[in-house]
Amino acid sequence: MRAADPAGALRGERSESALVMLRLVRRVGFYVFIVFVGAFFALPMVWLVLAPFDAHPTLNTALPDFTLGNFGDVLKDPYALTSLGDSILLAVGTMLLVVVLAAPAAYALSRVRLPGRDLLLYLLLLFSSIVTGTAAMVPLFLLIFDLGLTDTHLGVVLVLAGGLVPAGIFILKDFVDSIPTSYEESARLFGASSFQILRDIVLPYARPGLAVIAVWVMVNVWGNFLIPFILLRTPSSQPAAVVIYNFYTEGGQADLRLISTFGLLYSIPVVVMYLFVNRRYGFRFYGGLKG
Amino acid sequence: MADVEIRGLTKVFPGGVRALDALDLHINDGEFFALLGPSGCGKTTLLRTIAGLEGATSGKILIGGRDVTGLPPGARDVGMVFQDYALYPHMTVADNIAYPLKIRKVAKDERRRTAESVGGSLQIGALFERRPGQLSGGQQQRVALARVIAYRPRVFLFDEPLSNLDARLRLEARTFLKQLQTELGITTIYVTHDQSEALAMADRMAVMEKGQIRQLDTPTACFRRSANLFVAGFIGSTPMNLLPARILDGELDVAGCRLPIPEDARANVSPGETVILGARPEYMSLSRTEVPGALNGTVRILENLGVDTLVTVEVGDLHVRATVPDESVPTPGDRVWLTADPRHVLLYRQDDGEQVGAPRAAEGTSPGAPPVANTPAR
Amino acid sequence: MGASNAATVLSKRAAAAFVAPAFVLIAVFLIFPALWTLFLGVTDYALTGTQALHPQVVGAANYASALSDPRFLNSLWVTLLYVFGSAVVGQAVLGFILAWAFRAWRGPIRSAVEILVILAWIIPGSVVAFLWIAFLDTKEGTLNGLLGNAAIPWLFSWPLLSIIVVNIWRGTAFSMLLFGGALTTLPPSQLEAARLAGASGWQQIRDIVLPSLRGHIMTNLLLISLWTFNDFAPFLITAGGPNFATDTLPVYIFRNAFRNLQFGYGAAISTIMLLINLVIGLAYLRVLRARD
Repeated sequence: MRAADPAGALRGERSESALVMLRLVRRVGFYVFIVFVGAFFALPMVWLVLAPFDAHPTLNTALPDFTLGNFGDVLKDPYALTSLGDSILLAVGTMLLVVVLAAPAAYALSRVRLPGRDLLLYLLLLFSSIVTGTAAMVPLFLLIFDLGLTDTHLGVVLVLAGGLVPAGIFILKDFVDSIPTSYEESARLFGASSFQILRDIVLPYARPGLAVIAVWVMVNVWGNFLIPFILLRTPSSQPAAVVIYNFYTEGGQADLRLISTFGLLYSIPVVVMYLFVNRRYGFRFYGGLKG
Repeated sequence: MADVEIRGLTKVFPGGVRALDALDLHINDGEFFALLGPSGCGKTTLLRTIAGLEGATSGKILIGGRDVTGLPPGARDVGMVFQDYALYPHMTVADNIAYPLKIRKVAKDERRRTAESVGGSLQIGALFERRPGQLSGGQQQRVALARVIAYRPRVFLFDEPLSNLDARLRLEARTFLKQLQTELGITTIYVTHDQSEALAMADRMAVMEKGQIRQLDTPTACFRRSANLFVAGFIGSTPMNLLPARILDGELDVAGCRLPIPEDARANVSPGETVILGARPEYMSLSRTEVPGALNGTVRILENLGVDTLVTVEVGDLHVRATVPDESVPTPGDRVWLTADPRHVLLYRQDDGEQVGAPRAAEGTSPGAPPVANTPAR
Repeated sequence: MGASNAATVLSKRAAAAFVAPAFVLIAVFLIFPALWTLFLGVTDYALTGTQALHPQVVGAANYASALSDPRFLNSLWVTLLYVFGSAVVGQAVLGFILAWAFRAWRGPIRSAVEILVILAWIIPGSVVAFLWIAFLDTKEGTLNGLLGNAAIPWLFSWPLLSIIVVNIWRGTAFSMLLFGGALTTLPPSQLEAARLAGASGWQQIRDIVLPSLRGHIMTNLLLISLWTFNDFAPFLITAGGPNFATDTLPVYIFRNAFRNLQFGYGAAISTIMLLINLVIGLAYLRVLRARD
């Protein structure tokens, strides 16, 4: 395959230093790239952590003229604080609805052998990815309108939950599948009803799954703009996602102190939630996509 | 074709684990060299460092006289067969075999021809259009072999290639590999934790423990003249007898019985010293009548090994084992005398486990640097 | 697993009762709207005026006017560019590069970059929109400041490029995490064998990593395409302008339905959008099934 090649051996020696040089260049290039990527992701965010503490913030990222006064101003604004409350209300409300609906359904679908059950679940999941709030904004609005639920938190919760329940069932079913049926069977023999079994035996076991769903729903709802935007008219019931948009699109000078501080307060809960989930479960998709 | 030389090779992992400790090693051109040891001894690390998959912390690696220590794996001209074979599931067998040639920019028809000839010689020609997922373990192994043979590297590296095969297949593959290596004549470094495999296949071997070489020798020498207690205990299908003994009146006192001191050890022991006597059951002879210089005890357990029987004899508080051919098997309860073949009795120091008379390791150097001569390959 | 003794564990009636509430919700708020929009699309329904009281069936008139409306075609084209540029080219490629770079790397820099990428994904969309409005501002924006006090009107002169960059910034985390997970399933020995044969990093990626990860790549591309296609963020940043340069389909629907109050027309466009979603979704299902 290779004849004796003394010249080649020499070439090998020379290219050794060329190899070292190449490796150095590659290494430097790699670090430059990483720095660039890091800067790309960091720079737009820096304003969010500096401006709220700045007495005179501009749109530019600058070292703050340090003050904590902006937080006081936010608390005084009639809409900012209430909108955070609305966000919490919507997030928790949707989360509760999804969990209460998805858990029994996941349990039932896990335990009962229905022909085409898996196909049904896949189709449901598919459906919820197709009929997004954005694609179906028109019929959803009209539906809520006809139900007389416009401008109510309930309307928003129902719509959002409708979109999130299928995936919730899908994820929870996986968790429930791994619970051995022997616990339920022995409870049956004691005369427990299906509901009692679900409440006392299955749900406690499925707690990690419920936690995952809960966090996932809340994070989703917290940031959702479109549905509350089209369904809620009264400013005092609009969540932070909409209110902060109102702040920076209203005519006149945008109050940067308000926007930055409010934006920071609005962002912190989800960041905290991410850090918590990351610490507890690690934020990785091992091997494949699980919802 | 090349010899491999390791000089002062040290590998420290982040966290302080010293996987390789200042190793010196010379493997001859065309030799089948085994690295044997328990898990964690550093044999795989050594192999991967030679390959370039791990970087050395200090020391040098030379292949064919050329210093490859700083070179990336692809430039060292070595081939490696991994434990899990590392076949590419999305490529056919033919493409798998030809892949290294493709990297080396060999023309398509020549790649195909080479792959076919190598595949033919390994009897996997019929499998060429299949995917690795459709092959049995033994077939996958041959494909991994073919891939490495096809581009004719200077050194073959094997990382426990037989451990994923079932027991019967393993023995066949062993013979096959040995024969292959003899025909090809390519320097081979073979890592295994199975001592019988190393003994069967290697021209020479290094027995490793905790990053150091405890004995570097031919298999025969490792078996018959194990350099220290570790090697003595690791090598051999039946455990070597390791008996505490005292030097008394120019003889060895073992549980009250008097045995002669082996000639070559005589000068290295002092009266009253306690040593460990090592004698393999295979080198013990059993007699029903009293013989001088023997261990005297009662037969306790018999274990049938097929051709021989392993007899456990209680000598004082010690249990001594001997392998005895079918015809002479005693009965439990018999009083017997066990003689050790003096040419195969070894004495070990109690403190460092080395043979009496072996040089002591100075502070900080590896005690494993063996005084045993690097006998050239058969 | 699970349901071998189904009859004793859970009666059919109990199971039905457990499933019913969820199904009712899904039927009302997911299935019904999808079907209703098909019907609405063939009417001239509006929220006010005579059409609100007596909506007429206008057949395919809405669809015809949509397909001949240059604004609609523009919107379709803009959306296509948006999805292709930010998802397919941007997020997937950058996500893969980061996943590959991170696979054997531990340390503070790697963790820091990873956290930054993920934070960009987590910060609520309304905040992200404003952060980028600030960052790209012509007079005071940080970007222009870094470029030596240039006064480049990013959002006015390069609006589509701007929202593409924002979407890449926002969404790379998902691809990075997905590919990161996928790379852990690749046995390291395969790449090592290639290295020993002399393959460079790029050759390893081309010959081994990408073919092995084909399923994951397809899954990822389909999901992020679907999400980007349905993304409403351009509305928050540029509201579809200037001059409809960033008028993606979601923004177009919103404007027609909620500003022009043409619900029938809006429903027709929604149907088209649902159909495109369906095509992407079915493609995803195909890939998922093939992998199993």
